[in-house]
Amino acid sequence: MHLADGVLNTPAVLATSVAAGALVVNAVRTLDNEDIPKVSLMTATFFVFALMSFPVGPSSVHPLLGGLIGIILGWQAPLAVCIGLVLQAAIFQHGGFTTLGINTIMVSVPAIIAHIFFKGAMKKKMNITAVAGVAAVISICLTVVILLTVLSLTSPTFKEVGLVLALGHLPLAAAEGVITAGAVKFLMKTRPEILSQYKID
Amino acid sequence: MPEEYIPSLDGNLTYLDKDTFIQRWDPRTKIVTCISLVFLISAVKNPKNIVLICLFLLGIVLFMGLEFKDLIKRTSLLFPFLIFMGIPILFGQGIPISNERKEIVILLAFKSLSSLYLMFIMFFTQPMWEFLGALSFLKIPNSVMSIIFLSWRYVFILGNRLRDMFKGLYSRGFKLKFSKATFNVMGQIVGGMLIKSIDTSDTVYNAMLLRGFDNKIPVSRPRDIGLMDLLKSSISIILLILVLIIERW
Repeated sequence: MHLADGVLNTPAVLATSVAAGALVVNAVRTLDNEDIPKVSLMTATFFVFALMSFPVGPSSVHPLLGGLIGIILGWQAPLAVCIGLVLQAAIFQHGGFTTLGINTIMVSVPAIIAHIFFKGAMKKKMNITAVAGVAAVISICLTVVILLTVLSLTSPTFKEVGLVLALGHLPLAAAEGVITAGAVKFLMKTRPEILSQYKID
Repeated sequence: MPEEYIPSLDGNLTYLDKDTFIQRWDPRTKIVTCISLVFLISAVKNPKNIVLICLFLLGIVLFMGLEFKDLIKRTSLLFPFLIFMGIPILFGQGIPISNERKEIVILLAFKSLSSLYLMFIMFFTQPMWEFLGALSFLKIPNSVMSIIFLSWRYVFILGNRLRDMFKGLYSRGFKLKFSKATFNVMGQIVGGMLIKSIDTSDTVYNAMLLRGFDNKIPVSRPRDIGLMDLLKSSISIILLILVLIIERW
């Protein structure tokens, strides 16, 4: 879920904005012109698939695809996520500007970790589909951990909210694991060069 | 129907074509002011002040031409989030609810609403191409602006493609539910759409390069920032800073 404005206190807003800004600046500095179409496309993918919602009991969840974005973009993921969030704010007024930092961190840091995990696993020649699924599950779990940490640092009253949030993300972790595994398997079958950075045989 | 799960993008783009002082405000100064105000609002600590600020912004939003029905529809999108955050905070330590918890929920709700109204002011008072053009003149790197412009285009292409895919799936009896089979199908859809879109994006990008694209999207130069634009920005920012100073006096 995206946090809306008003949740974080001023120190948390400043800290998360600076941290997210550093991630985005790093992504921009390492961006080659040839990467622009790929990053734009992943930004749109992040945006469009976040519009879908699966019914879970009385509520619904929507995919974040942090794991998949991390696997495809690596360290450029923060740029795609940040722009995707700005577009969501522009069209649907989802999220906010004081929470743009934390929302970017919540998706892009797990995406980078998923990328590192996937890269390490590929070097060890592990099963690509299983690894992609696990990377996606790890990414969702990390998203929850980051969210809970920031909320608990903001105010002790958010403790109860954190528990509800953590439970709400469990089905999402399962869903994203299967979706990402399926997507990566499909990419490997039909267009392996998209994942050429991992030097998979 | 796919619309049940994938909302239409076109219906959510609003431009309030009315001649008010907000629409006449230069987009660059308006963007900087609205973002500054959102950050300043996050520092408000008094529930009465935040309610007043929120009502003031609501008045501006209605004045600039947003219909009441549309306002309710768009504001209601925030309600699940507020309920989700508010109820555990209010009842987290049982009944009676302490004043501190009530204050936190009031601050949370009205800060979120105020920021939402500032987003309406920022996004709905000029056409989106003018908004994106204004961003280009705010010292944002060319590569980032190129990604923003291209993503803006791809969002609509992918959105329509996804809706078409779902129409096809629905006509074959597919139901979007929380099951492994659904997620397997979703994985293949994501993969398929990525491949198709990467091909499209590469073709478009190469065509742009052949036509002399140098990673800078050309946009027309906006009019000069006038005294009134600066006045609107400084008055609104100074007023909010004054509220914060008085609050901490």
